[in-house]
Amino acid sequence: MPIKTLLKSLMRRKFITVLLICQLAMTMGILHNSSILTLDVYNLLNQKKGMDASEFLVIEQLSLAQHLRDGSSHAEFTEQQDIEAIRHIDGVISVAAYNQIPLTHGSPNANIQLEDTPPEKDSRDLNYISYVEMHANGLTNLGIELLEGRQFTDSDEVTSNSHMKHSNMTDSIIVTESLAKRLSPDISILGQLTNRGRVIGVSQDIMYTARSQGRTKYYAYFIVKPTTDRYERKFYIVRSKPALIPEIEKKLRADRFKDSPERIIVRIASLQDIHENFFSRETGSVKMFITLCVLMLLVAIISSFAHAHFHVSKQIRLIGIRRALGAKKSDILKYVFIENILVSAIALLPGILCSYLINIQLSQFLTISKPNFDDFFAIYTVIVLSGFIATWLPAYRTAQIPPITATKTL
Amino acid sequence: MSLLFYYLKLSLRSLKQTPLVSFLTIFIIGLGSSLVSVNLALLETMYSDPIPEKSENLFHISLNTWQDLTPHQEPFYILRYKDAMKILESDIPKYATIFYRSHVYVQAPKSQSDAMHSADVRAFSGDFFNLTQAPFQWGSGWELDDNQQALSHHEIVISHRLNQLLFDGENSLGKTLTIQNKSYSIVGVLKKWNIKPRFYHVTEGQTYFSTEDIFIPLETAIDNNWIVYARMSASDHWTNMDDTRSRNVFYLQSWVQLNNPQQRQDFQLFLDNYSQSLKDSNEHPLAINNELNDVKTWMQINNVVDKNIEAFSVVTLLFLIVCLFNASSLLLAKHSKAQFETGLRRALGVSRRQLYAENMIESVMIGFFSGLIALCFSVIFLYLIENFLPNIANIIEYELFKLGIAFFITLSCSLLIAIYPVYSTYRQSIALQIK
Amino acid sequence: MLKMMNIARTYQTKTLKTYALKDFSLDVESGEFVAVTGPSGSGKSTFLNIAGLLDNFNEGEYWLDEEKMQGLSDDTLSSIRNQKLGFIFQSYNLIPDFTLFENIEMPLRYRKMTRKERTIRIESSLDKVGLLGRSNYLPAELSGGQQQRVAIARALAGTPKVLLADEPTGNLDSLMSRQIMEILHQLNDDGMTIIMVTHNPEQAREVKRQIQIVDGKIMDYGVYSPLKKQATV
Repeated sequence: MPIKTLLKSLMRRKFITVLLICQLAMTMGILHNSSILTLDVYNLLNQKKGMDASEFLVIEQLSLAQHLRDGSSHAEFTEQQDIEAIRHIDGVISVAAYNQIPLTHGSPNANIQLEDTPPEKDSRDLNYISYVEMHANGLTNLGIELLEGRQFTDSDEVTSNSHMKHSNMTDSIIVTESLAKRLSPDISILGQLTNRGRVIGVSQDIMYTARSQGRTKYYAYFIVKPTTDRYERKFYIVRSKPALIPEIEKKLRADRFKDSPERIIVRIASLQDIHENFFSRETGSVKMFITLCVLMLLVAIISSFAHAHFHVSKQIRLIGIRRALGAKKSDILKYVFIENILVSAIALLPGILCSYLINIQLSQFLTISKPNFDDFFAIYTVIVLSGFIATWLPAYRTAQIPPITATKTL
Repeated sequence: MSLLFYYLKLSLRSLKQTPLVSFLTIFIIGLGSSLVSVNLALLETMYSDPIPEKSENLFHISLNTWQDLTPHQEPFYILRYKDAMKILESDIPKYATIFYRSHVYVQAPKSQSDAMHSADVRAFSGDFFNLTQAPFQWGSGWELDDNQQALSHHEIVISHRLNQLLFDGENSLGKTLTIQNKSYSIVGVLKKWNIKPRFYHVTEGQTYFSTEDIFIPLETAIDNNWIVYARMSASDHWTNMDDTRSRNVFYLQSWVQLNNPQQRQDFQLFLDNYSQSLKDSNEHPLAINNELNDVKTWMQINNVVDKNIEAFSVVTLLFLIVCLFNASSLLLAKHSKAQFETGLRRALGVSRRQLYAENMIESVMIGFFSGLIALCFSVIFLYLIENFLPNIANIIEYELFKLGIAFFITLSCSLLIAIYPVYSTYRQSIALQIK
Repeated sequence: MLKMMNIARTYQTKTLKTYALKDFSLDVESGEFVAVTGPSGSGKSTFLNIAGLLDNFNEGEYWLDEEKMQGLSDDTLSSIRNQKLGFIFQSYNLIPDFTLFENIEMPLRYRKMTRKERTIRIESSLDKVGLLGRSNYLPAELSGGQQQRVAIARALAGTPKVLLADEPTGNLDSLMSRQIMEILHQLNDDGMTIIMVTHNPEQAREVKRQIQIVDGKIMDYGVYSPLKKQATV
């Protein structure tokens, strides 16, 4: 079919054609931007974490009773019992207690600086550094490797809150690689004194503040300190094989870890779930957009179907004439499909335009990446294909119009 | 009247004649407008004034008193204990309050099980209840001294929800609750109290939390080390909540009620003078920059309207347009199919106006059915949004009168889209139609 | 050229089996001009539809151009229609949005043919019907007679073996009918085989051979029988 002829036939139905093209363009725009959002959130969830979250189970507990959080030997004893109980469950590789867990919002935090550097305006990024108080095996339990210096030993344990006071020579800390580079970009930070203690090691990066921008999400320092004195909230992180985690969780719940007036088990959950849950707003938003996309595709399909259907029903006689004068069934199929493709092709440019406009509009409310052509063409293909499929039935029925129709007078 | 019935009969028949088109049209209009309506209903709640009686007279306070050159924000919306106390000292505001959010586990009364109940806490000093117009079912808040400090300790006010949970909704005045091994007696029980958005604490993503279950005097909470469940910023080291009274620990928010511009001006001056006096004594090096923001401004600054919903609304509006375009071309197809009949009727003397009326009635009918579908979809979408966005789940209500919007929008849409198809049918000459 | 032997075409309803054509045999030689007459509902149209491969038949044999028309696929039938048959309909059946050129071009589009050859054929067939120079007109801009001439040109452009005309002058006044008939006679003189269904006894009498169909059967062969008076219509 010559394109000119088709264009002419479309022009005759200007109103419907323009509506159809607008619909297609908007559908492309919305689907494209939804896919951008989805990819953004996918990337957010799959950014470099520095650890395999699926290997860990977290028990978050809240000590209500004073005697469980006063640093007394009773508190120590109870914690020891907890740890023993966890360690003896089948499949548990190791366990340690912490004041906070990685891969979420990062709390508690403090500022850190090298001892001889006074606070400056441009050191704001060092104001909220997650500090991880933990047992001496805390880093090995999380599978974090040391890049420089030495591991913690039990003798590194700090018994008071001394590291919260400025310039304490005796406390040992380990900092993450990114933080080390930020604090001492030119020379090795090993052995240098900070306001939180002396740096004895540099660990690989691990994400403690998942929402921060750029490298700051990997800023953290570690210190060995009892988890029984100051904090009400305490985390046991249990390491195991991912497949065994549900089973271990069940045992923990059945055994020691139940709510009581002395302590509350706030949650027992895999670190993976906690991490994903942390981004529930983002994923929720994506789910809403995906729901909308499904509906839009549905409407696009209905629209293609209806368009082809009614276009055809108005043209039964003309198609009969074509058939009588020698058009094959396949020629008629082509005739209907090519029109469908032509409309999609015309909608391409408005679609790109729409996509950009919607992107600009959405970026006022959400953080959303700029549109790119690869994704757009993928979405374009999906829409054209679904239009194609929807056109099939009407096109097939059109091809069945018998040539004898041409001889009938209406 | 009988003509109306005749029209109704005709439009029903016309819908039945083209069941597929009619169904698709109704389905698509209902789908598009329900999504938009749900979003509009949510936005309406988010944009709504939580305390219209005096939202212009309530002000949130931000002070610029960070002790060195590295403040997180200028001015800062959370305050130190000593700054907050200064605010309570002033007699310019009609009401003033300072508070922080905490969280505790409440032991059920003796007769019941060992279960622990999670409860959000608002620890405050000053006229919190008067300022926020909290409605009491029984009792009242506690007595205040001249500095608006609570006179008696270990007294609490509980919410309707907690009272329902622990006392089956009975009058629980005078009863005691055990929290962290200490007893607190109940001096007041609130009625159902739902402020949307919860304007007095809209930071840290807590905008759509419900009002708290336990209200307790600030000093009591601090004495008993009820820790802060909101933003806290410190440049000094501290161990217990008690330490925060004297050190540079920022965690309190403050609101005042200033009834006229004069009061507002006076109070701004009061804050600036205070800030200046600190600066004079080298307690902070920052500019004198203190802010009073009324409810609307404060909610705006803190992006109370959920960005996801706002973004989604833009897209759903486009979706509605797509749906309407679609429905309109469906209707056009339907009308062109019925062109011969239309022409015939016009040839037989039915006037253009009568045909318009007939078609409008058909549109209203389509609108009516679409409206019903829209209502069903609305409920489904609300349910989905509630599941997808737990942070705003609290404001989602299946209020029928709000979903009435859905019905109205649907009806207007179906009238709107019928205009062109109907017009285009009648534009043609009768002769052409019946040829 | 066209040979039918014992053709039957039945229509089956729930209770009734009716014959539109029964035991129908006809042999048309190359270069003949056959006029088919008969009362309404006699089976004229059925005959023409079967001859034109627009309809199928239940019994008998049909040979067209030495080829047996049986068990052929829809696609083959389409290309035979396209290449060996030319149609002229009572209501012209031009496509209203197309120019004359495009209308004539349409069936040629379904053949492998260069644009140049198409143009040559279209111009020459427009010339034959006396409408050269109007190729950019739309059908609506022409009179009924002119439109039918375009339809003839469309049929000629495909250089068919047989021209099938279904009441070609049925919608036209006598002057215009005359013009159309002259064109058809001219074509026949040039060697074109033509089969024409008509209601008009005058026209039927003009042609070399007439047949009359009554109740699905051929009543009468008439070869050069201008004196026969038919009581049709």
